[in-house]
Amino acid sequence: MRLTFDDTKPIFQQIAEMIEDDIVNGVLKDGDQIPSTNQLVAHYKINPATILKGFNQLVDSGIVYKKRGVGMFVADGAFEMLRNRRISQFQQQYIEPLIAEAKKLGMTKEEIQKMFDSYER
Amino acid sequence: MYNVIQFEDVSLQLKNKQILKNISLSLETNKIYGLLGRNGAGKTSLLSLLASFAQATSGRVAIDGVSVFENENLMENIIFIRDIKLDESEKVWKYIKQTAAFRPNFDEDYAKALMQRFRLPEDVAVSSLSRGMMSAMHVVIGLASRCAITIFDEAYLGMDAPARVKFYEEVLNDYMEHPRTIILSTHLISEMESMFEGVIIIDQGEIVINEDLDTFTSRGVSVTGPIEEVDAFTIGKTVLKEQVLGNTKQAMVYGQLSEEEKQRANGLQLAQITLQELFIHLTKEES
Amino acid sequence: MKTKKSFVVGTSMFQVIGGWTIWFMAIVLAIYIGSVVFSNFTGNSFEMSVPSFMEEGSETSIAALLGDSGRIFFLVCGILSMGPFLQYFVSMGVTRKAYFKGNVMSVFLLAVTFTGLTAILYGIEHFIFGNFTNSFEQMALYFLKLALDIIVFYLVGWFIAAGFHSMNLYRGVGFILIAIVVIFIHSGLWGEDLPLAIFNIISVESYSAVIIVLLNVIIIGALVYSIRQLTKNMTVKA
Repeated sequence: MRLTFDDTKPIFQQIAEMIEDDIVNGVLKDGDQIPSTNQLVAHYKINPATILKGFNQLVDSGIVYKKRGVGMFVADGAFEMLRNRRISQFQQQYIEPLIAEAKKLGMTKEEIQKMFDSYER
Repeated sequence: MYNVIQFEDVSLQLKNKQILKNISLSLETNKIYGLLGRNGAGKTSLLSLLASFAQATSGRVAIDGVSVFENENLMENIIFIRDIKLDESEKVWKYIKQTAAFRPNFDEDYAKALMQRFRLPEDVAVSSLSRGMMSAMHVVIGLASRCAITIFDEAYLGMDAPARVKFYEEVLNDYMEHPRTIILSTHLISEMESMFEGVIIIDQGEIVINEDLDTFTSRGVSVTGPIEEVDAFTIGKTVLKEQVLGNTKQAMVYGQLSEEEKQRANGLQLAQITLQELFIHLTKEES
Repeated sequence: MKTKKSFVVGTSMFQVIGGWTIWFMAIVLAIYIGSVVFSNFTGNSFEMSVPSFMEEGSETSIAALLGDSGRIFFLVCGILSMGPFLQYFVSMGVTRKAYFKGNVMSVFLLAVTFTGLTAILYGIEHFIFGNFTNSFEQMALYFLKLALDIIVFYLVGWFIAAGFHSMNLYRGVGFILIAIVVIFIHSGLWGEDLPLAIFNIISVESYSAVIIVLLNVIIIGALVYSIRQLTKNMTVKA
């Protein structure tokens, strides 16, 4: 869970991403209940409508579902879904900037390969 | 309880000065609104009309089509909390109980709980309360009255930061348990922004913005990068502010950016602008 | 069952102003007793102005002192019943109409209570000293006049305050002048000594008391109507 929200993007989005992070990190497993609106309001002092927006975004993408009268739960297969999504974003988010930076610095393919090799799987 | 609050082409004139100019405003009930405006913009006047403290010079304020002015049923469900100094010799609890007599939904147990939370003493004269305690008392009355339309006009002015946090918590919690329309008029934009669902900006007697908060702030983008590239990107756009540092320029742009435009911004840094920044640049100084 | 707002306004205003009235009466009573004792020692006496239908000697009763000073007191109460009370009630979600009705209600309650208490004090004084020669009818008329006096002066005070509220200074002074005329007419009706003879147009000496009381009621009605017109749409400061 984050300490607080920043002003880089809408708060409802940050809430959705925070829950997604927890799922990817294994903090929240498929079938677990996610923090309730009341808990999030108490913790972050934000408008419940904002939280609802964030939850709705998660529901729309199938990450989370609502059990009437009980709360919001992580959907089965959510972890897989998010993992796949992140993997397909991995190249654009991490590899491309890495290549761009390496080009800027004039590094060779071999130099980069050496760096990778120094990491054990 | 109610569905919509409407300012129908409302104007307010006082001693040859036009305070509010043809205001048309429609507010859905059961939301928390932030009302922002510079000093003298007309915030308090706008709220006074809603609370029936004054009558519009032309136009009217209505709730579900019924005019509020001098309407007994509507007036008892609208409460306007201002941070005023009271000169009453009554003891605090007695004063609060007297208020309760006029408010049909007043919850005395909740009032007592709030008094404990804010450490508001029961048995001292109202006139002897410190600034912070006076604010606390106003807040207690505002919340415990549970009026369908609750207005806080900078009601936290005397409160220190810890007290303000308590206030925000109580507003949000009670709002969740007893949904109602809450209008928070404030200068502390960054601090209170996360509580707003809707934002209303008034400037020089006119409504500039009345919108969902996220929709509004999504129209603010800051573009940072090499001067020429930023200039090329901002052609034809509304630029609120520009700053140059060496070879880098940062421009504050107002307007929705399409996906295509966002893609075009390769090499430029795009970031969201805060509500406070948007507010500052969309409103003018008191003339 | 919901209590009518105007009733709540009336009773709470009656309580507040009634409290001031008790203090006022206590002080006047103390002054009266003090000066009676004082005049017994020095042989000086004091006289208040009383209506022409009263017997000689009535000028020195507690009723006369309370009646005379009470008028000024309730004029001030009327003035004070305007600004802060209207602001308080509107901010409590009460309509101007309910405030108006409530204040009118409290005027009558105050007049009846004050007159009643004054009558009791007069009765006690008469019982102890037994030196007043007014008939029962004269006293009844006196106390009726006292009640009407209280109402008129209070309403005049309220009227002046309403005129001053959110109006410029010149208009406000105009209201005071109207108020003075009203007071003179009212007093003239009851046969009191006045600076200008013209105000004694009709007076209780030449016409029956019934007509005078009726004219009083008309004056009161006119004041009440004017006050309502002035306060109907009055702005309250936020």
